[in-house]
Amino acid sequence: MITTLELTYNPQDAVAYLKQLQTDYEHYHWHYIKDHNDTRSLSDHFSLKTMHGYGLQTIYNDLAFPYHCDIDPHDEGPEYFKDTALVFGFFKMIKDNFNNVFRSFVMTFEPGDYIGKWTAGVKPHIRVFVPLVTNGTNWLRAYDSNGHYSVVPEVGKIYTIDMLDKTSYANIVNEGNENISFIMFSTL
Amino acid sequence: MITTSVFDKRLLTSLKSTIYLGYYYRHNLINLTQELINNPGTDVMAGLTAHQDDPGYADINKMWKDAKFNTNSMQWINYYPGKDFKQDLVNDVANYLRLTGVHRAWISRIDPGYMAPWHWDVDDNEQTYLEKGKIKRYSITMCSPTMGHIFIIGDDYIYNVPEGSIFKWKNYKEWHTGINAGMTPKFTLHILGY
Repeated sequence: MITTLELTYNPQDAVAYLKQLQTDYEHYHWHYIKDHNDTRSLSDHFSLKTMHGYGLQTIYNDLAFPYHCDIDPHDEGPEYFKDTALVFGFFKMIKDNFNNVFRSFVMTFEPGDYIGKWTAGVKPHIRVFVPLVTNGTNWLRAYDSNGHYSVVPEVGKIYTIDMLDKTSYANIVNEGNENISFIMFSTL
Repeated sequence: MITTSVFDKRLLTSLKSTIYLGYYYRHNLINLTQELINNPGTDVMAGLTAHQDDPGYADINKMWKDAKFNTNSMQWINYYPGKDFKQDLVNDVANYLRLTGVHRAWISRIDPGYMAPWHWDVDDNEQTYLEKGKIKRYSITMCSPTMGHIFIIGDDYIYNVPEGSIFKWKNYKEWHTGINAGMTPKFTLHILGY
């Protein structure tokens, strides 16, 4: 199920945060295919030819080493994730509203990129989505035993997908003609 | 497609002298070790013997002699990019690690029954490297988890880790040793850069 939270934010703050990452934090920037350490993990469920982003937190003790979007399903939790220098300003304000935040990323999906369906893995959680740039399409989707759901995300609103049920699935599909960028993180 | 989790809490929580940085899978490192298996490479012990009285080397040699270390067990082999394997691998690893440049890189090999006893790496070009800034050193395991393959860096005992495991040294001159009590050669990729 996809839920729209009552918590909102100023879209200009979101855009400013993304622009600051792009100008001041290029060192942390990765492109999935070019930089990822394990292209073998790409299966038919993913088409991430142009997807790129930033790891806002990391499991590594070198906080400056870019944390890629690792889709290896491990038994991780918030205790393994540390904030990088990218946890500031807008994202910090959002993050402070949630408990036990982990696996936080900024991702940009260019047209045609898609990921999932993915499950909660071994750590059931709530997945939070904060749109930074959107394109008027229903790119955020969820599936559970009661049916399937999709929304047309709006900048300024925050969405959650309930991944507490291990039979739930979610996916992101950019079927539009313009990029989408968003913050995504997990919380318990 | 990875079929099992490569997440190892031990590497995230217990290392003191190194920092674990995940896995490098962009090249098939196991295939490369198979390509090198019949390559005699460069005998490092021969080089050390030639320099045994030079500063740095002399201290290490004295330590081994004082300990009456079994010299018959001391042997390791190096392979170098551009000579024994493609420079492309080093370039890609450096790019992956976000290094600005590479001082030097090599693959070390220790055969079953041999070891590289405690030492630190003497490098005649160290002062030149330092002109580029802080020296960064990484080691990447190249073999699948193998009983008897042991790499000790400072306080960290690295064993039973998947191929491609990346370890960043906190001190590029840290004391270290490689031991092969296993039945197959042990290969490790090393890179110094800035």
